[in-house]
This record gives sequence, structure tokens and C-alpha cells, in this order.
Amino acid sequence: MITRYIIVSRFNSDIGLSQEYHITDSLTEKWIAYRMEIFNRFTRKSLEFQTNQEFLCLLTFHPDSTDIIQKELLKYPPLPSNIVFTSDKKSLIENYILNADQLYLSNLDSDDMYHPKFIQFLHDHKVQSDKPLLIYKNGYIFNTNTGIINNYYCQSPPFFTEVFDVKDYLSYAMYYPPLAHGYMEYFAHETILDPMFIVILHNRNTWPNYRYHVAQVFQDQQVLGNWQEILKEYLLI
Amino acid sequence: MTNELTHIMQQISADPKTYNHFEKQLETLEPKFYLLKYFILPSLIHQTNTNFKCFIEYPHEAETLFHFFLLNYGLIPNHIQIAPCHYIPLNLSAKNYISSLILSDTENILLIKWDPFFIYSLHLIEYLHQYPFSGNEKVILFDKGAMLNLNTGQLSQKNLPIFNGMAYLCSKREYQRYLTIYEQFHPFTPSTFKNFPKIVLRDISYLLLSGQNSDLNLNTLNNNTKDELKEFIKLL
Repeated sequence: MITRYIIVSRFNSDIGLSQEYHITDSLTEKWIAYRMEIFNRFTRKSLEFQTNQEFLCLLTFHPDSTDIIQKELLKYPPLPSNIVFTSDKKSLIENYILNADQLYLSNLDSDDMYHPKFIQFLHDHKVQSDKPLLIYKNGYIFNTNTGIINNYYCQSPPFFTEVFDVKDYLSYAMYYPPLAHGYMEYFAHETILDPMFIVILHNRNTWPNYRYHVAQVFQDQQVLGNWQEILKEYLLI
Repeated sequence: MTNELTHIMQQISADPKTYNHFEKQLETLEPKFYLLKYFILPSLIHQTNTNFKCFIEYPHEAETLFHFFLLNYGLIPNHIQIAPCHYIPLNLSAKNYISSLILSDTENILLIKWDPFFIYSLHLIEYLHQYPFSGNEKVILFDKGAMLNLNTGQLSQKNLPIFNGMAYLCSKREYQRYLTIYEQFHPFTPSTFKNFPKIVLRDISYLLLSGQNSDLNLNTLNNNTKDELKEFIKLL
């Protein structure tokens, strides 16, 4: 059985979703430059240093911002061939899964990080046929301004993997409009409890309420005894 | 390919703020009862092929009024079920029916969007039964319509180029995995399915019903209009 692993990250392709969070400037040079810097500092690391590189990561951008994206990408070292900014996700996925039997499609916000062994975990994990969705509910949250990290639990976070027979993906799943991650828990799923991600807090997170939701990472003392170990594990120090 | 035809009718809604006031509720629903009585139900009952199920949903707050309506309407055949909908689209009997299809050897389910303000040709179901679906079609659009103004009794020219009628061909696996969840968050509308492969069928017409008049006597319409309406409803 041939299996393909794809991580999809909506960089600024989903204007409708951005506007739900009152982000109206995601096509501007200022917004793109800022988020490109965050991507390169954090998310990129989590992709480049995956212990298993057998995957494709697609960062989807809005076609109206093609010129700015290309200009910003030139400011950073070239991306490896399996990490691609694109405005044409559909054809790249179709091409990548050609002749494959199974597809693991993971979601990642373009300012967050998966554990470096995430892809290897997917290779090793046996998915239950009646629960073709893995939701990673445990991880960490890291405030880049204070340097403080803490445990983070979310009932239906933006970290999940949908598993498809390729023929199902091509015949219907690829056409469905993406649902906000909060709805994913309503689908039949397996909860993965091993910590698998870091939510990165920076100056312009999409969700503005972290300050109240995870107040401890906005204070001035580390919360976890093994904080250095975790940051090392995620290549953050 | 084993197909089952299922009509999912959108909720017949009334303004929630008026639910607690019987008279206002009646006022809101009266035009809808008129449409149900003279158009929707006859159109469903007199389909030339009745091998399908139709689930008509209404807000559970209006249950008493619907009971009165149904008592006065008379016998409704088994393939048409009218039941309250509690908060989520698809009432329980529709869900149970589709669950039974999933357990059976049905491969595909054809969900037909049938809004409370339009009806299809009486040949719709027969046409869909005969249509050679390959299984690759997803969204089926009907783009040939006419409009009947209930205030004036005027029938517009036919072939109005507007997409209002649609059906969705859904495999059993897809329904189980996706659609049961999606329909809770995305209403079953053409915009939900804008990216899906589509076919447009021009052999089936639909009739849009506009206006709020509940007194229009169909038998007093002029003969030309009555002739045109024969495709949609059986006039006395």
C-alpha cells in the first residue's frame, strides 16, 4: 500500500476565515512580511527538521498576493523541495497522490510547530478504520516575547490529520469547503494524547484572547521544570 | 449502482420571536401552509414515480399548528413524512431512514433540495430514476424555471436561467464520514457545493412561487397559465 503524507497550511489563502477574525490586511505586504518572518523562525524549523522527510508541505496563499509572496520568499534561504508555497493546492495534491492508495492530510497553522517526530509518528501509527481522523489535543504553548512555555490542551485544536483512501479524497473530500478546526471534534476521531505541537504566541496571533486564556506564559517565570528540555526538543534553543 | 432518492426539504421556518404567540405564529405560517396545501404536497403526492422519500421539516415550536394543518389536509402517503426539526437540520425520522440505507446495500443516496417556495415538474423523480448516473457526478443543477406570482396569478416566461434547483449525489461512505457532520454547520445550499463537479439538467423544470397571497384560486387562472402549470401540479 502506497501512502502519502501532506501537511497543509493556509498562509493567507482563506480570506473568508481571516475576516471572521477581523483580519482584513492579510493580502498586504506588511502582514505577509511579518508572517513570513514568523514562519521562517518557527514553523519552517519544525518542517525542515522532521526526522522523516517523506512528506509534502503546502503553504497556500491567495493568488492576488503572488508577487509579494515571491518577493518575501527571496529574503530567506530557499525552501527544500518538499515545502512549497502555492496558490494551486488542488493540482499539487492530485499530482502527489497519483498512484497512491492512502493519504494522510494534516493541518498546521503557518505560525505553529509540530513535534520533529510528527511525520515519523504518522508513519508508525495504526489508524482505526472507523476513526479516520487524528486530533492532537495535547501540546505546548510558547510565548516568544517572554520565552515562557507551558502545557497546552485544546479540545478541538488546529492540529489534526485526516486519513483518506485516495479514491475517496479525489471523489468527494477534496471538494468540501474546509471547516474551522473547532468543528473537527464532531467527526469520528481518535484522540492523540502525546504532546505533538507548540502554539507559538507572537505579537499578532489570529486569536486575540491568549493573554486571558493562558495567562501564565505572559508572566515572568518558567512554569515547567523541564522547559529547557522541551525547547531543545523543538529546536527553539 | 443502487440509488435511493431522498428529498430533504429545508426547514419551514417561522420567526422564532413569534413562537410563543399563537396568533402571530399563525400569521407567519399561514402563507407557508397555503404553499404546502396547494403546491408542495400535491407536487410530491402526484409525482409520476413515487419511489422516493420526502422529509418535510418544521420548527418544533410550531407543532400544534402543524397538527391542525395535517388533520385538515387528509391522508398523506407514507413516502412523505412531516416532522418537527429540533435545532439541527434533518429531523430524526430522516436521520433514521438514511441510517437504514447505510446499513442496506444502497451505494448512493441522491439528496434533493426542495425549498418551500418552489416545486419541480411532476416527472422529476421518474426522470432521475432513469438518468444514467455514472457515480462521478456530484452536484446536479436544474436551471430551467418559471415563476408564478401568487398575488397576480401571472406566470413568467419559462426557461428563466437561474439555478435554484439542485440535487446532490452522495455515496454511502461519504454520507457517513462527511455529510452528516457538514450538514450541521453548512446549510445544504448550492454555495456549500460550489467546488464540486456539476452537471446541469435541462429536461426538468421547476416553478418558483413568489408573493404572499393565500387566496389565489388556481382554477380561476386563465387557460394558458393552467396549461403551463399542468407540468407541475394537477389542477381540478
